[in-house]
Order: sequence, then structure tokens, then C-alpha cells
Amino acid sequence: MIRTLTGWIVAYLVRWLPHSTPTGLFPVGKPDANSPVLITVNFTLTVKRVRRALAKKDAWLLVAHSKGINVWCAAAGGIFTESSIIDAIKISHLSEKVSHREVILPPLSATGVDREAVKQLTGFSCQFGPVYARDIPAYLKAGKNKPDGMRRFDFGLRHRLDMFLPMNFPVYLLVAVVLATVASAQLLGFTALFWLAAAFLYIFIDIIPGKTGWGQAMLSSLFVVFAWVAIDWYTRGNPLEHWGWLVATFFVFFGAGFDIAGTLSSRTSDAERMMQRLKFKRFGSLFVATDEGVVQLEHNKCQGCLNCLEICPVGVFAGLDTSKKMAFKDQEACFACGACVKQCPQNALSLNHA
Amino acid sequence: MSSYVYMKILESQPKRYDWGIALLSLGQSLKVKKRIVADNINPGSKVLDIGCGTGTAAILAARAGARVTGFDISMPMLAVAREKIAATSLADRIELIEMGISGMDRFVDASFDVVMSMLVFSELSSDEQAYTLDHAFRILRSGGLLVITDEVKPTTIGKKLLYGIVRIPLLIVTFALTQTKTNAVEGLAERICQTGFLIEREERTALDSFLYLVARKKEE
Repeated sequence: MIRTLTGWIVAYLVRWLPHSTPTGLFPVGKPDANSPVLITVNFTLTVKRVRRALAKKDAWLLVAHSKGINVWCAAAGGIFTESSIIDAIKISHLSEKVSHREVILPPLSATGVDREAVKQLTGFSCQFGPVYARDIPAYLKAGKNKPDGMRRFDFGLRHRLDMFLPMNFPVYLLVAVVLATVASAQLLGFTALFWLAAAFLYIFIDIIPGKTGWGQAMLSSLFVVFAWVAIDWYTRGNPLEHWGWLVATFFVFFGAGFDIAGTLSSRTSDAERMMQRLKFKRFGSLFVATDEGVVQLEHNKCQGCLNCLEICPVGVFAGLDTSKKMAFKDQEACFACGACVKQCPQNALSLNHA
Repeated sequence: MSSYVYMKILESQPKRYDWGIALLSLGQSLKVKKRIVADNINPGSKVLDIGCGTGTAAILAARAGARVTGFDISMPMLAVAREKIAATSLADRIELIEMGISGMDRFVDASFDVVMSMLVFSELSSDEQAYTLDHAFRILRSGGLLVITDEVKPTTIGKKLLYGIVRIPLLIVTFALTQTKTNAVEGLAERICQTGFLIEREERTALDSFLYLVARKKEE
């Protein structure tokens, strides 16, 4: 489905970069005026996965312009917004293609999309579908109802394996190119060490002790270094026989584990936290330190509309309490994505510290 | 969320946009905008700036005596534009609207003298380009001007090579410092003719990689 080599490379090897597909309204199967309309963004891999999920369905796929960036990043970065959706609906003349007035949005767009504005300017109301495209058929079959599982972002093994190559390959490539030119004899050893370290972290992140990703990476590297020293001591009588590789092990684990907390779990990025602790306001143009804390609710404003419960990707909310106000299930699980704050029609939610 | 780092990059970009574009164009950006305004905009002109971004061209046009309406899809970009406009005495001559191109349907037929758009078409997909040109044609008075500047791909192999040698390192440095980049637009002149405009000027500058195009809506 991905037709260009660069598209394939971005999708599977260097997912840090954007890659665009054409925008507009596309029929999938044989849709008619009553078929559902699913909105997505024009990141190549995203479109590919949504199309694959819809393979046996008759539906309209409306690809909005996000400059080739995925749903979550584009929504949080202010690139996939209500304006992108309004543009997509109007430019494609969607209202002439379907008789109903409803579109289905990816819920990870909730952090950037004002649904009321879409309704006002286009007449289309927006429903949030399931987080994962692969759940779309089941979601449609169940009459657009979704169980909790379809609302959650899953940081499980499947996600981690999906991120394994595209997150680590750029780091590996950078070091490998340098090594190949200055110390090509070490390239094979580095390759093995790097990918074993990355695989270890990506597979076992849930059971490696440690609160932060950096802590987990350090602990893992210590474990490997001690094992290596012990083996060298026992078999060769010299514990520091491979001292260069022992030093390299620390760096390799740090490289592969630089942002595992942020990539593989719903924790804040360690780099970001370090910035805050060092009282850096910004670091060049790459980081801007923010201190957003966890979500807070002003009970008196809550009208019990359940929007926040529907779109929270990590299950912070429990449902309404006896006074018909939203209650928290796990407030500390919040990682400040901002989706509920954006979707609360009463402005009852905020990300400021209490 | 690792993408967090990525998101921060996206969010912090507008404030450095002007700087990035200046760097990317080796200081030519402002000069080009000044020339475009001097060439095409008269006192009293009604001007629409499609994708006005940080407002540089809108301010220049207003200073030349035009009444400018600018719109952009990016709220952070418009925030920078508002700051810049507030620092001038032109606030009553410039109106800014936050909207995507589909919002162009709100403008009345034949209500503008000039529609200008700088480094915007290359950001649009082809269906969006067609939509924008259709509406630009509709809202221009007869004899009105469409002024477009954008990055294009060089045409000859020699220039392509030279372009790559100069361009790629510049692109990397600029992106690293400001997260700003530009894309090349293709087949724009053909699209503009298809819409019904008459092309009056088509200049390519800077290693053949930058297009300055003026088209006129036929007098009736």
C-alpha cells in the first residue's frame, strides 16, 4: 500500500519524520449516501492502516491535511485542528456525497479539535471512534458503541514492537555511520550490542525496576556490565578484559533508552523532567519546559456530559458520582495530553496544579 | 509520550518562523516581499493575503496604503502577526482571520483588487490548490491580480545539481535551528491558467528555485 521508498522508510525505519499522502475524500469499497465517513490525517502509515482496517467495509475515508504528521502529534502540535477538518469537509463537498451529517474522528485528535466549531461551520457532528483503526469494523458493527478497550491507548508489547525499529534505527544509523568511518572493526560488535540492548528494554520495560526510563536503562546496563565482568573473571581471569565494551554498554543503553519512558509508557519523558528539575526554561529550540501537572476538575462547573470519560486514552475518569459530577478513577495516571481539557464544554477541566 | 518532544518542536516554531525563512532565503525573503508589494499594490487597493502567517507581507501592503484582509489556519502564527501589527500604527488597515482555505467562501464575489499568497501553495495538497484558485478567481474584481510566490524545482540538470548542493545543507541547518522548511510546488502555472487567469509575469529567481508569478483576471 505504501507506494514510495521514502514513504516506506519513514513508516518503518525513521518514524520521526513526516510523510504525506494525497488529501480528500476517497471511497473504500462501494459506499453510498448512508455509508459512514471516517476522518483521518495524511500521514502515509496512518492512511495505510486505516485503509487496511476498512478493507471489507463500504465507507468514505476523508483524509485531512496534517502535513504528513500522525494524528496525535499533529493534534497536539496545533496542525490537525477543527480548521483542517472543516477544510476537508468543505473542499471535498462531503455534504453532497452523503445524506447523513456525521463524521467519525480518531479520538487521539481530541487534544486539538473543537467539535462545536466543525458542527457550526459544516453542519457535521463529530463522533470519536476507536483509538486504533483495527477496531473500526467492530465499532461500526456495534452501532458505534465502543467498550473501554477501544478508548485506551495501549502501551503494551504490540505498541512497543511497532515502535522498536522506527524509534531506534535513526540512533543506530547515526552511530553506525561514524563507527564505519573511524573504527569499522567495532561495527559488528556495536550492532549486536545496540539491538540486544534495545530489544531488552523494549520487551522488559514493564518489569525492569525503576521509576524513570533513565533509571531502568541504567539498571539494565549495570546488570549486563556485572554479568560480563563476572564471566570474564571466571573464564579468563581478567574481569576488565573487555573494558571498552563495558563503557560502550552504558552508552548504548542510554541511547536506546533515552526516551523509553515517554515512548513506551504513559509516563513523562525523562528529558523533559530533567529540564524542569534543572530549571531550564528552554534548551535551544528543541525543548520548552512545561509544568502541566495532572488534570484538575472544578466540580461546580461539571454538567456530567461524559466527554472526558470518553476520550481519556489512559482511563483517568471513573464516571459520574452520586451528585452527577465526574469522578476520578486514577488521577495520577494523567500525563497531560490535554484531550479532556479541550473537549470539556464547561471548561471545568484544567492541567494546572491544584 | 515521546512524541512530546516532537510536539514541542511544532508548537515553538511560529516565533522563529521569520528568522528561519530569512535564513533559508539567505536574507532574500523580505526583499522579495517588498518588491511584490511595490510592483502590485496601490494605495487604496483591497488585498487578501492567503496564509498570511506572521503578517510580514500584510504589514508591508498596509504600509503601502492597502486595506488588507489576511487569514491563516495557524493560530500561533496569527498570534505573532498580531504582536507585530500592534507594534505599528496599521491596526485599522489589517484584518486577521483564523481559518483554513475553505473559509474563502465567506468573501463576496469581485470584492478584492489583489489576492496574494506567499509560500502557501506548496503547503497545500492538489485538491486544496484547485479550491483556493477557484475562490481567488471568484473574489477578484475583473482585472484584479493574483500574486503568488513559492518554491519550485529547478528545470535543468545543472541547476538541479547546484540547487541540491546549496539547498540541502541550508535546509538541514535551518530546520535544526528553527524547524522551518519549505516545499516545492509543481505545475502551478498550468493550474492558474486552467482557472481562467492570464499569466502576466512568471519569474524564476535564486537558482531557478523560486517562482514569482502574477496573473490577471480577464477584464470583462
